Amino acid sequence: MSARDEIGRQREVALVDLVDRLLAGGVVLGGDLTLSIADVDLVYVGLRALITSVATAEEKGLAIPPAQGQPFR
Amino acid sequence: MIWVYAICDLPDLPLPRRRGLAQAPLAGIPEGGLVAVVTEHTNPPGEPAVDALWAHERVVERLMADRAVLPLRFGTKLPDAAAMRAVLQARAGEFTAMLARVRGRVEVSVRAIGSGSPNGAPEPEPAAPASGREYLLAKLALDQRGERQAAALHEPLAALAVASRRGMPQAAGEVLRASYLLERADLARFRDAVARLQRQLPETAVLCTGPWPAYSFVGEGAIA
Amino acid sequence: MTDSPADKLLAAPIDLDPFARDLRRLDDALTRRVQADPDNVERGLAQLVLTLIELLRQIMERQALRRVEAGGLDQQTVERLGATLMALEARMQELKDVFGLEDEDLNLDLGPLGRLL
Repeated sequence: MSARDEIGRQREVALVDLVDRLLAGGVVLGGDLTLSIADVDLVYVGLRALITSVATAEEKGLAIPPAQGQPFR
Repeated sequence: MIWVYAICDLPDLPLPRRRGLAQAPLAGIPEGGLVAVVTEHTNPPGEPAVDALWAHERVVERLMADRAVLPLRFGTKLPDAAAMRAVLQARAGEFTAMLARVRGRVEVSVRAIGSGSPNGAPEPEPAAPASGREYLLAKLALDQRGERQAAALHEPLAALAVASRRGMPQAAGEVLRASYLLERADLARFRDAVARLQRQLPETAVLCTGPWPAYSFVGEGAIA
Repeated sequence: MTDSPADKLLAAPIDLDPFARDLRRLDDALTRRVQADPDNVERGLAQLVLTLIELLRQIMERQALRRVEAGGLDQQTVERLGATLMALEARMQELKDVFGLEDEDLNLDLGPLGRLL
């Protein structure tokens, strides 16, 4: 790999770690998280809360409650 | 419309001359002991393109050189200074606590790719599992092997850090994706530890990048 | 602080390719291809739906592994869990094939929602 290719690859790799942080980290202002399709804002706060709670529950080793009336084995 | 880069302390400290997105000059919006660093735009700077990301990042890193910085998520826009002040007022306690957490500290990224992973690396597949049980046990074995590789790396590194966060492996073969919050003075020691661990763990490829602003330690509910 | 992205590497192996593979997925996120292209709406929607299904499948699989590891599940249950998960994985692969999607395509960055997987 040429020196130039090498630097290019290094930049790409640094970019991966940067984007990971810029787009998914940092302080978030404002309440509603929206996903836009064709310029229509659709609010998905509920979905995000669901995913977060499932992931957190997993981390804590908590059982995720089953649907109503079903025994949990 | 204002584009927001960071929330900092030391509101009386002059802002750097470095420009932000679209070469706009930096402006500070102070409120209490905090200041939001922003640029003003009539048209939004647009979709995140690689150049915009690095331009944004350079502003945050330049600020980090001489003050405590809470980096904002990329793409944070507010209508005007009044809206910014309202946020700073409403969340002053939270921001002040977060600033204390990151003052004098930097974030470092570590990714490791191992042979075998929780994701199911593209290894040559053994014979198709004959039963559901075999399937699960094979997955479990892979998972545990990946986790052992990850722990061998993560545990000693976490011990050198103020705090650490593990993320979900994203790439094929990835066993560890983590962020470490370090005292700035400990950066060299951490880097040397990574190099040493890499030598000790030849079957795991380790990548360490940084220093970054503390993106992973200031998000929602990050105060701990 | 540095001005060159390449300076960010503190420790790195000789072969950086495995660490750069994320870029393909990120490229989609950076250009918002999922949303922007009306000609590809179907594929974009399939990407979104399959990403969500894959998220749930992975969460369930992880939970199942943790339960098996912890012990306390009888053989029959382990077998049923495994058979179902194996079938789910096969079905996911079929769906991906139908829409011409690879694993890298199924980890969408949904902007403010972050990445799901």
